Amino acid sequence: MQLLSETTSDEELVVLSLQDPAYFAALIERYETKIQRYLMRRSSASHEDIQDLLQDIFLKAYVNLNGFDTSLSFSSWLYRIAHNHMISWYRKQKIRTDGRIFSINDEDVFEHLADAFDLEHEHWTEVVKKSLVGHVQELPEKYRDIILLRFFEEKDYDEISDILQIPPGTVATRLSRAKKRLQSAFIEHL
Amino acid sequence: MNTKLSQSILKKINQDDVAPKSRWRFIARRVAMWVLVGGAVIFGALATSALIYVLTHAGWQYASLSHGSFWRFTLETLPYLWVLLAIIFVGIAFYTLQKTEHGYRYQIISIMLGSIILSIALGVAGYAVGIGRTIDNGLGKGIGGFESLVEQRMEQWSQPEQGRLAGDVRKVTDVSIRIKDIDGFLWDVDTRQVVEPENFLRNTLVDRNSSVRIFGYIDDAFPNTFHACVILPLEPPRRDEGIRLPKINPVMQQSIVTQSCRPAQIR
Repeated sequence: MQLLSETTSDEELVVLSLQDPAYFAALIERYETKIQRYLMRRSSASHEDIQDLLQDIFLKAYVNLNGFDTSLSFSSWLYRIAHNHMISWYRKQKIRTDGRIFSINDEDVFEHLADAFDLEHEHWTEVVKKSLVGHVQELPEKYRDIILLRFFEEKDYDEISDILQIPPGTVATRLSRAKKRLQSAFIEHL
Repeated sequence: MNTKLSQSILKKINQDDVAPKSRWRFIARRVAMWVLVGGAVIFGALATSALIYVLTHAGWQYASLSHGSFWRFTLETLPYLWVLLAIIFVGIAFYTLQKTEHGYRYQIISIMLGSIILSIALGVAGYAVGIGRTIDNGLGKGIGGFESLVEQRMEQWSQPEQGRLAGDVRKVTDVSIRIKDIDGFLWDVDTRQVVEPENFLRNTLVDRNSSVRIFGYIDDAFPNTFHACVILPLEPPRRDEGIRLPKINPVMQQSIVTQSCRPAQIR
């Protein structure tokens, strides 16, 4: 087995994984935390369910490695699998994908949001933060997905387009609408 | 160092002999999608070319004379099957284009307009080289129940009491032709009053074995005799045949309705 460095690209790891599944472990390790965090933010599944989902997602990615579209980044491709798998898991469970999105202790998230809306978040009270959490969670699913991927997963428009399989123009439109909804909600509570 | 998750996944891969699906499966799927897109666009274009052919040669200029009203003519001659097929295939092209690997990157309206414009553009090209005519005629001959433009015309023009007669030419003389109509009935058609006779003769519109449609009227004294005012080919003439169909102005129209062809007043 070839020695891997941090500079070994995802695409190289995909090629190596197809020759020897042991290399796939490196890809899992690179993305395990990110995907787990995404699932936790996007879903309200239990810790055990998240672990099961994670395992299924990586196995699905492995089985479909030959279908990896090299015009996308591996990250977008994996997030797409995770997103679609989570949605279909929820459909099977027949429950809503409400998700936790984030908690009021997640300072990074508030910083991102504050930057996006040109607001000073240091002065936000716990009440404002709680109401913000509520407002984001009340957003329709299509807007929540965009907010989550843009501000929390820090994906650009093209990556979001590739993950959600919608045109980049639609990503921009939905993001703008979601921001408008949140902005008016902020104003009410600031 | 492998994490717990990666270890458990590798263990499962090894234990259950999990292997990546073959590369060819993905290639085959992509190819199949594009074949479907291509097929839908081509069939959509073929249906569009037949649609253009029928609409172009429907005989709009004779609508009020042959059907009484423009709307009745439209309802009776509109090629519903071609319209339906064109819509279905453009719809399939639109749907499958969206499902291709990168189809999601394009706005629905762009894909929809792209499918429609592509089918129309290829349809116009197909019509220009005569594909529309070939398809319409071919399907008319090959599929029972489907009426081609020519067959539809034959039926719509087989109403001698209303001044319309269609049939296959059996005999041609200087002053008359004999035709056999759709029911096998033989008619002697007086051609002495025909509008633009030199045009109709020069272009050999009327020839043995050709099929014609005629505006005129039944002779009061001889029920199997029909006086022709205007003779037109049953099948639309091809561009390279150089045939100019006579124009019917209101005076001519009136003279046909009143059963007296008066070509002298038409010029």
